[in-house]
Amino acid sequence: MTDTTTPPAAEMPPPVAARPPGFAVVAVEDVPMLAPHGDWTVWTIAQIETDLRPYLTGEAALSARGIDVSALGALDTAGAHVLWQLVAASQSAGIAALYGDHPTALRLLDEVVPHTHPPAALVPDTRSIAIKLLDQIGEATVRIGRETADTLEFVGRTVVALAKAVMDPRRLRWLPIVAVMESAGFNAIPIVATLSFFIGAVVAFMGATTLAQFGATVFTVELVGISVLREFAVLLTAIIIAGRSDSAFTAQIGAMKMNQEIDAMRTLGLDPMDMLVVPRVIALLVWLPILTLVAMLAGLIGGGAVAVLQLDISPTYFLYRLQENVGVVHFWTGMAKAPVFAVIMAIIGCRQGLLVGNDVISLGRNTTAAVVQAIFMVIVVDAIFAMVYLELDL
Amino acid sequence: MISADAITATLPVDDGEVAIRLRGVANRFGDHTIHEGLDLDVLRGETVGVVGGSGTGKSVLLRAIIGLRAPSSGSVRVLGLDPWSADPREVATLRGRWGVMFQDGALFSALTVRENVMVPLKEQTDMGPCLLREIADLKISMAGLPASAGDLLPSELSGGMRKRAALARALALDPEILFLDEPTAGLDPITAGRFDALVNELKSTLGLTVYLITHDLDTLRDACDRIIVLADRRVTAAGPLDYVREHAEGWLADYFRGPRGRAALG
Repeated sequence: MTDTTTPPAAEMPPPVAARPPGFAVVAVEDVPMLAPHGDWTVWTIAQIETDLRPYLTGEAALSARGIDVSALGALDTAGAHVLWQLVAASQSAGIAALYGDHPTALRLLDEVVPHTHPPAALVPDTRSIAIKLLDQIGEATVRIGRETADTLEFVGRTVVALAKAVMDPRRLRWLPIVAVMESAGFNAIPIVATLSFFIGAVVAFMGATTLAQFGATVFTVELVGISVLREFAVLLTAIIIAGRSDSAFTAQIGAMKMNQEIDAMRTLGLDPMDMLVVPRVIALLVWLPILTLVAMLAGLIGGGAVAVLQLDISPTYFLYRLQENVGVVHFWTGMAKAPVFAVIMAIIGCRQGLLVGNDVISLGRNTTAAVVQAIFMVIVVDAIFAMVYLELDL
Repeated sequence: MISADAITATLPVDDGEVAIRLRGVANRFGDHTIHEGLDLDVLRGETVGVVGGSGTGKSVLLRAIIGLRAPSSGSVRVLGLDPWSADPREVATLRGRWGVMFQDGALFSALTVRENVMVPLKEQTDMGPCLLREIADLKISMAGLPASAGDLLPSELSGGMRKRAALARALALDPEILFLDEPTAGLDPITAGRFDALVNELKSTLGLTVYLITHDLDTLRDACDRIIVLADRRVTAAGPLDYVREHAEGWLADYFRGPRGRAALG
């Protein structure tokens, strides 16, 4: 197997100038013997692997009763293993004779022989593709069901922990709450504001182009106002926070789990729900609405900038139309979603973190799951909100 | 021929007879000097146990020898080659001739034990998949693991099994030198004793040079030909256990004569 990823300069030369390995069957005192020559080491045996393979798998057998090592060069455990396999395949029982002098052959064969197992046959999967597909669908269905039940259970535990914290505020851990607020909330202001500004501007541009065909360019103000306030600001903020902060929640808690810090907390009488989950839920609960407000303002400024600079709508007129035709109801319909999204995302991120096992793979898998689940749930819940608002004529 | 009971850190022998030769090695972290003018020779085929109190830089020295952290000054020669050479071929050759077992195993957690052992074989040799598997299983068995362990992930292994799996990976390319960082730390005495016996057996059959860092007095007694003591930024004592023990001073005296030392060494 040639490794293509290693640059040629780093290609490993055999440590010692090696002579190519080879073998023959010779008669020594009328006994057929396997006579290897050249170097049989981990570096060289690959050269004769194709010649050896039929003998190793038992498809062909050497009629050798022992090994004549007098012409053998360097030998190591890998070489000794292969030599032994060759001879062992040819005689079902009994000890092979060793003939000739070699500094290490006897010692190495002694070392290797007890550890040489017959090559295990790989059991191929003979099921048809349809069965495999059904198998996978079934497994996935069961997994989704379990995942949903587990998530609901975790939501319940979080609510209990939150309720306890509200009843007895002394239980709250202020230091982690403020620390999470800073890293997950405050530090996200620039990215949320920048992206929302651009979204607002893009909506204004796209809207203006289409509305201009009806001579209704001025309705760009309503388009920007309603779409940013109702949907874009809160959804964009939630998605950014899911990617930026929710993944951090999972990674932090997961790394603590791998380091047994969670176990240490439990033994010290500290509840991980109080220490890790509640602070994160509270921090997002406070900061997602603030970030949404920032996103709304930035989005309106972005849309307004396009309106003023490109569509010849004066700033005063922009604000007037915003006030008269959009109204505060859209602000509240958008803002009302923020705390709901906050709780959903914090719970998903913390839960995935606590589910991390003892290996790095699960850390990566759960971080991915946290972000995917958070974005998925945010969009599903947003659709539910839209339907509820529709029924309420908001 | 210098016998393995030499009592000096440096030995008057040719490069060909030493496995590791350090001259004037210094390691500094900013203003903090860990080693200064450190000299050491390790003969081929001997097992040395490196001891020293916390912060004497046992791991830092190991990292300098195996090419992970460059020494601030001084020369390092392993098997006559320089692990800090500018020539990538020299370094690559060297990497195929030593095996390193880290303290917690440092197994690749995404791979099974067998795949872990196959990594160096796959990267450095041209073996086909069947032979790779066979050689990997041989090493796993030689390291004292049952054949069924090959399919397990590192997270499914106990501490002792993880160390054995790491040893199997370190042995994959039939190295000439084996570096072991605290091989028996965290193991129960019986498993630790078996590990010592395993290292001894491998050393005698494969003719390995073993450089091991340990705090375990049983390991020093059972597995090491010579003890190397790190203190005061250099090698302060070297020699067979009995010699080092008789001439122990300071930290070393406490180490050997404390209750644990007396219990282990009598």
